[in-house]
This record gives sequence, C-alpha cells and structure tokens, in this order.
Amino acid sequence: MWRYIVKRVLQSVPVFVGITLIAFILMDIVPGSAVTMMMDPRTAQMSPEVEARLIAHYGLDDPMPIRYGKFLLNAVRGDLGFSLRFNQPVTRIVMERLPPTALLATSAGIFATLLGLAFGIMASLHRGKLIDAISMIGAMVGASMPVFWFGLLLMLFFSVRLGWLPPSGWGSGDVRYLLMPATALGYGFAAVIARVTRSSMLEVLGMDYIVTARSKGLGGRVVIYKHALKNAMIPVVTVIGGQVGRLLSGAVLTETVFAWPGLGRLLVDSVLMRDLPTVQGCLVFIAAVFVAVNLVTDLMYAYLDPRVRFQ
Amino acid sequence: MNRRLFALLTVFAISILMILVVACGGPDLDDADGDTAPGEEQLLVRDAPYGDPENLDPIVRGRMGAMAVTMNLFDGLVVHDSETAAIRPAIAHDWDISSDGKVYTFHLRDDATFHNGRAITAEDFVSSFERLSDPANASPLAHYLDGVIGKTEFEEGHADSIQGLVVIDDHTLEIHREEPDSTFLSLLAFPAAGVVPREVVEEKGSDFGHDPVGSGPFRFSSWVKDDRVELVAFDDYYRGRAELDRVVFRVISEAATKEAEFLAGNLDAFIAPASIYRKYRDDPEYQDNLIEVAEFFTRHVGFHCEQEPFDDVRVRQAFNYAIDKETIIDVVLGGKGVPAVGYLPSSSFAFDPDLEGYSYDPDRAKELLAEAGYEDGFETPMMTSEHPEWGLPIVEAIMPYLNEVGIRLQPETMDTGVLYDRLRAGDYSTYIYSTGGSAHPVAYLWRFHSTLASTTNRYWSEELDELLDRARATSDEDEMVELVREAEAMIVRDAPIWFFHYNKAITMHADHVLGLKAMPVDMALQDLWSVSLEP
Repeated sequence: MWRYIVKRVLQSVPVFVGITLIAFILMDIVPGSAVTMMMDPRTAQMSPEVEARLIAHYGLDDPMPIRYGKFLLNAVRGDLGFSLRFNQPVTRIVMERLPPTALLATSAGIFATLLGLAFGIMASLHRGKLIDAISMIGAMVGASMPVFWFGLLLMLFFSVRLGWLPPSGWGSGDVRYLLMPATALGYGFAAVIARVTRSSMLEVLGMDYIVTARSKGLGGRVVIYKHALKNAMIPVVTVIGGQVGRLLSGAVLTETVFAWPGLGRLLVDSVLMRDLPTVQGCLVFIAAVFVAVNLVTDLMYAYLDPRVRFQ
Repeated sequence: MNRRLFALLTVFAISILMILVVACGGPDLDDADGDTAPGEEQLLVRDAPYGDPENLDPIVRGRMGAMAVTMNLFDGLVVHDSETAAIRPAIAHDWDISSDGKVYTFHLRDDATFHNGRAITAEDFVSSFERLSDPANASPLAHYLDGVIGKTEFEEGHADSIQGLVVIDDHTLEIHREEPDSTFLSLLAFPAAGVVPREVVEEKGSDFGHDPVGSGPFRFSSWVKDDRVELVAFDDYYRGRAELDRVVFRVISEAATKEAEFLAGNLDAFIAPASIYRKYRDDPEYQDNLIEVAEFFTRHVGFHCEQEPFDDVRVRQAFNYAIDKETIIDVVLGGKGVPAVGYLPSSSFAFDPDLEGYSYDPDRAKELLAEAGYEDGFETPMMTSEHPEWGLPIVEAIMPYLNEVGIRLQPETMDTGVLYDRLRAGDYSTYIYSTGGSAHPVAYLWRFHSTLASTTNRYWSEELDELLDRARATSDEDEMVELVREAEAMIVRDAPIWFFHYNKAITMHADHVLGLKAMPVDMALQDLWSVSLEP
C-alpha cells in the first residue's frame, strides 16, 4: 500500500505543473494588469514612466516562458514568489488563510457527512413514510438553494432577528462564528449525500444476500449496519470525494457572505487584481487538497470492498 | 460498518474540529464585536471601505481602501479639510509661498513625534520624500514630487538627494520647484506624502507595510488579512490624544452583510451602497443616521473623441440630451447620485453654480444627430463592468432612451481591470466608468489636458490646455477658480463624456457615533481623530 501511495503522490507532480502552467497562460492572456491596479484605477493618473518602472520592478517585463521557469525553480524550493497585492511572500499569505479555510471546509464536510448519512439511512429504512418525504424534500431544497442566499437568510434570522450569533467574521476560531457559515456551506453537500445514501441503501437492501441474512435469523441492526451499509457506502464515498471540490468552490461564496478570511476570497480578489503569484499559491494549495482527497477516497474503496487491491 | 466504527469516526471528527479550533487560537479580541459597555472604552468598529487595505506602507499603493486606514496612521505637512477639501495645517503649522510660487517654506511644529517617540524634524520629511521618489521603491505615487528641482536627477541616479528639498533648521523646510503649481499642496495632503521614521523603515524593509509606524492620531495595533485592522490611539499625538481609544476596520465585502452587522449593533459606521440607501433615508428611525456628500467621483459615459461617430461634437451633445438622468438616478440608484452638470463635482469650491448643463430633450438630440448626418442613427459598442452604480444596470437603463433617438448600444461586459486597460489603450468606442479622487479642482480636470488625454477620452484642445496650464501656474486662488470655471464650461460645451452623476456617498452610522464628516474627496477618507462616541 505504501508503494501505491508514493506512486500516487509522484503522479500528482504533472497535475501541479499543469495547473500552474494553465493559470500562468490564462492570466497572461487576460487583459488588465496588476500594475495599473496598484493605483486606484478610478484616479486614472498613472504616468507611463511610473508604469514602466513598476513593471520592471516586479519582474513583469520578462517573456512568459522565462517567468514561468523562474516560478517553477523557486516553487521546488518552497518559494511561491512575492504577492503583488500585499508585497509579502505568497507562502506566508496563503498560510495565514489556511486555518480559517480548513476549519470551515472540515466542519462543513463533517456536518454534511453526518447529517447526510443519518437522513439518507433513515429515509431508506422508512421508504414512503413521512420521514422519507421530509428528508427528501429537505434534500431537494438543500441541493437547489444557492449558498449565498441561504447564508443571508441564516444571518437575518439568527443574528439580526434573534441576536443569537454574530453575523459575520471569523472571530479567530470562536465556534459561535463558525456555526452559520458551516451550516450554509454544508447543507447543499448534506443534501447530495443523503440522496445518494438513500438510493444506494435501497438498492443494496433489495439484494439477495440481505434476504439471506435476514432469513438466517440475523437481527435488523446487524443486517443494516454490517451487511447493507458497508456495501452501500461505495458510491457514497465516491460522491463525498468528488464533492470536496464543491466545498472549496462553495467556500468562495460562503466566505464572501460571512466575511470569512479564507483562501477562496483571497483567490477571487487576487484574480480581480491580477496578482498572479498569489493566484498560483492558492491554486497549488487547492490542488494539493484535491490530490489528497482523491487518494484518501481510493484508499477507502479498498477498506469498503476487499476485492479492490492496490497495484 | 458497525457501531464501534461509527463511534470512533465521530470521536475522530470531533477531535479534528477541536484541534483546529485550538490550533487557530481562541477568540483573541473578545469584545471586538462591539459588546463593550458604553463608557468603558471608546471603540469604533467601522467597515474597511473597498476591502482589505492590502498594504499599509503609504507609498506602496495608491488605492483609496489603503488610504482610508493610512490617513489615520501617517500625518504629513498639511491635510485636507474634512468637509471642504481645502488645505489645513498638520505637522506644518504654517507655510509661506514665495511671490513667484516656486518656493514653499514650511514651519514645522516642535511637538510632533513618531509613534516610537522620536521627535519629527525637517530632515525626516526630506528622507520620506526621497523614499517616495526613489525608483528602487517603485511607488505608483512617485509623481507627487514631480516639478521639484532635482527630482529627475535623483530618479535617474545622477544625484544622491533631491536638490530642491532644503532643510533650513530642525523645524523649517523649504521646497524649491521648477515651476509654480497650485495643485502641489493638495498632493502633499495625501498619506503618501506623510512622514515616516527612516530607522524603522530601514529595519523592517518590506514588512513596514504590515507593521507600520507613523505619526498620525492612531498607531497600528493588529491586522488579520481579509478580517480586520486595528488601530489604537497614540497618546502623545501633537493635536491631543484622539477621543477614540481603539478603531477596528472590519473587512466585509458583501453589502448585505454590512447591513446585518449594522442592524445587529456590531458595526458603528459603514459606507452604504445604492441598494439600501432609499430604505434608510425614508425611514424616520434612521434618516438622521445618514451622512451624504456629492463625492469627487464623476460617473460618466466616455466617448472616443477621435473616432467616428463621436469625433463629431454634435453626436456627443445629442447623447447628453437624449437621456433623462434624473429619472435613472431616481429609479435605478434609488436617489443615490447627484445629477452631474459638468465634470467637476458640485461639492468642489470651484464649482460654478451658474453653469448650465444638458437637460433631457430627445427632440434636440434627434436634430443634432440629423445635422451630423446620422438621421438613421448608428450602432455603437459600450464597455461596461457589472458595477451596480456605474455598470451594466445603468447601461440597460439608458439603452431605451438612446434607442429613441436612434443610438443603438451593444454592451460588452468585462471586469474593471480589463475596461481600464482598454480605455488607456484607446481600444473602445464608448465606456461607462467612474473617475475622480483628486482633491484639487485643477487636478480633477487634468484628465482633459493633452498630457493625459491620450489615455482617457482623446479629447483636448490648445485653448483648454492653456486655461488649465494657467490655472495650475497661478498662485492667486480667485484667478485659479475663474480659470477652472472657464475650462469646465468648455468641457461641458464639447461634451467628451455623458455627464451622468457625482456619486452621492453615504456613511451610515449608529446613534452614538459623533463627528463623522461629509468628506467630499472620498467618503472613506475619514479623519477619525475628531470622532467620538456618546457615552
């Protein structure tokens, strides 16, 4: 298994090169420059001499391949360059945003998984009953409601109307600040998990071996949790792994609504300000999360289905 | 999966959460959300206008968002008045300008100190100005000292210092200019011309922008990027300690969130967008909590004046007659805009109250178009951002008016970075945008001077250049105002832009906040020294 993990990690190297190269090319093609954005463009008073000086100062006058080569050389040494927006090393800026983003995405993910599994299993066991209908309506609402809107509703209700929770900000990790953003971000995710869990469970519960298990006199709980659930989990794990992307992209909106100082907001603002080094830094970290989550997902398959073997 | 595994997983999940919370540190500022009882500590929580300031070294960025913070950290020789934008004393308690307008003599206070306790001398201004101008520092604001004798030699590396900056004694500084310039003092009033302690700058290097030391009424305390910047009162401030003990700038990008924070009582003041203006203005409970000003930002549609069809002044005038801007301001902006007469905002002291602009007159517009040879109208693309107050919603509102007279717009949506670069490159026919931010009327109109016109509307004339040059050169303020008014009348006549509105900037504040000003240069530039909270 360790050989497999090492191999997978090595396979991800081209992924990083590809992602950073594409970002580099895209940011190069897109009109608009970081230098003019350093001045408030509405004051419209940057002279061409000053502009040229700034371009040279920030090393933006080299041809694209040379700039990319420099970026790669520095990146392998752990230096992701200097942010044009903040005049600070990119690694430092990204590291500052990691705790809030990790906290938000992890808690939203855990919330969504627990909630989704619980309701999915309950719905499948009580198919056609009231709890099934409620769960599935709740799931449909969750899957179709934009994070942005749901977040504002939560805020208006729990903060403005009831005054129970602080409306926004991250409060340096204070749990009261976390509840609404994590709920807003996790709800849609929970909905997807609940639906997949329900249908997968229903399929498995109809299998012959479940009938066999029941007929040989096993108790309901053992059948459901030992025989059915483990087999039903394979598609669910696939969905959870694939949806981590949704957690990160949804985080952009959640972070904006709740003024959460995370990676998503940093990335979007940096794209708007044409701060390529920071954009690259964010992408490298987000790609690393994707690669890691996919690896964990694949390892989970082997646990759930012993027929899967690493080669 | 059995129950034990479930329990294990749950414990694992909860412990991850705990570890994260602990690793990230508990709440460090437990009263920062405004829970402090009144009378204990004077804490003002406001929004960080335009988002995170990004860098607090005053020379590194020219963005208003950074200036809103740095203007409270860094004092310079002079400062803009918070209501009239006129020049007021700061560290220079007085100054003389020679009769030819070329020599400025500043008399500095002897009680001004940096936040590290060191007394400020004339020498500090020289080193700060040289730092601003030094190409090695690549400041986008390096042009502030343009026209000072020896600045070019210094920039080109032929001199170690700027010859025109002369220290007479510890508290007297002379600045020698090549030519007189009526806009010079106004530039010196922006934070980039503030004084910085050289020894701290040298010690911190690029970290200075993240842990700044200045001489303003507040000193830097802490900063969580994209979350909050905190300043605390500087006890030895030369004008006397500020009434506020602490100021928090909260970084909130979403307007609805700011509103929720305000209603929840956590935000004492914020800049309000058009989307919520009318609701609060018409609410008797809140109408006294709004501060309004016609801000020095002119929202306009610009024409490429060297290309057909907008090279013809009649077409540009027709465009101005064709649209009922009052109705658009009322309906689309909820009244948050002051209808523009010309380019110079009505809150400027040089504004001419007798100037006549364009009224809504579609028949006149059709006549003018017919005279110009466009009886059947024409099609034209328009670059626009999605900004709610000077972007796509406005373009959609003016399209039917323009259709009426035969001008068919094709909107092209893009972000402001792209729009601005295409504007500078001349790669457009029309655009909608908001420009301004200069405090001095001559500087405000300078975008129509031939030296800048090639990156703006491609509209200039020798006559206009001469008026602006003279207004810049004179040291007689009345004469300057007269010349500005003449220039403005010419700009209105030639209509290089559709004069839409001057931004009506709104500060919403809680009842207990006193002393916020209707600052016309940019509402975000609040001098928080004069702000206090009612106990």
